[in-house]
Amino acid sequence: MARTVMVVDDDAMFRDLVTEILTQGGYAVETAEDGQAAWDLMQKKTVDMAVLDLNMPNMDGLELTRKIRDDVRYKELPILLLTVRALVEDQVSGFERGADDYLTKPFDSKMLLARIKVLERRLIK
Amino acid sequence: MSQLTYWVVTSDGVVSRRWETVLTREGWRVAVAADLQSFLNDAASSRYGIALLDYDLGRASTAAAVKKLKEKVAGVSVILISQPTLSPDKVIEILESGADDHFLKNVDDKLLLAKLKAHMRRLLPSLASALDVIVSPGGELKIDRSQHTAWIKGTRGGRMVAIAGLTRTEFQLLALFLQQPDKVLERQYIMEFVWRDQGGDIRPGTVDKHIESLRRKLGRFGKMVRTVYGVGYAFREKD
Repeated sequence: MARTVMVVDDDAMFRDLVTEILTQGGYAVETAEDGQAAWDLMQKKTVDMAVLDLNMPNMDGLELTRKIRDDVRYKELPILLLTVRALVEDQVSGFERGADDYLTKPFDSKMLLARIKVLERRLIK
Repeated sequence: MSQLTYWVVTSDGVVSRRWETVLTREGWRVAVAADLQSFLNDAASSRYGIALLDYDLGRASTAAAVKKLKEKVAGVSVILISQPTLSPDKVIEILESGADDHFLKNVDDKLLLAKLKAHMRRLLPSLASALDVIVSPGGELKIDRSQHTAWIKGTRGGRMVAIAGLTRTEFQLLALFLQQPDKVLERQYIMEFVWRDQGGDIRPGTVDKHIESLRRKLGRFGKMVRTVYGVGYAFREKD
């Protein structure tokens, strides 16, 4: 069965783009437009992996990452941050909050899929 | 004691020396190998580890080497390292062959550590040593390394109360216990861990003195730090 990736970004065009890439890669996709909506979604649906933007209203990506990691149900949920914020400090704080990977926009769609596959392998193990 | 090994597998002396210093400073066990074969021999007998593997060692055959390695040693994460000039297609090929990540050789030290800690978190979930916040299994004790603060569950309403007056050494001892609850930690191991930056003469009695003081400050939770006679100490919440 296809794994479900949750794509969280306040930019609708970007959500559509990532959804298309992941769908073509064989994944099922759920989307949310901010951290709070993503959290609500997670209470209703099962997601296997998460791709999060950082800058979002109503709970940003870092806050959501922390919330996910603090919850014993989602401790192991693979999280990839996908953001325009490319500074070393941004990346470090992303990893410190519990992210597993970090890609900066603009990104190569093949690279995104390759990195999602790496995260998926961890689920199978 | 299961301890994770970091292998720096590269013939690039500048990179291996720099990373060896950076990782050792974190208190991590580092092994440097200048070629694939000596690394493979060493890794074959290990249960856990993270290998930083230079693309330039194997060039075209690196992907195949990664694949073989991943099949051979299950608990070892392989992170490919390369010059920034390596093409995205090559990086993708190696990720697809089983590598767990890709770093550039010129990665910032802070970022290198943050990324490695993310891998470590996954490899050793029970050894939560990569996290800033650690809560004891029963939820009665909590520490936050970024704030250098520890809390215990209070008697009124079960709210967490900060522990006053913990010294740096006592805090490190507590962190060490919370990272490995229920495990017996040998005195020698505790000494190496807590006093590793100080060098010089540390006597086993010094450990006992600091443990006594930590127990006093933990109040009714002090008894959770148990003496294992002739060996060391163990942190156990429940009897």
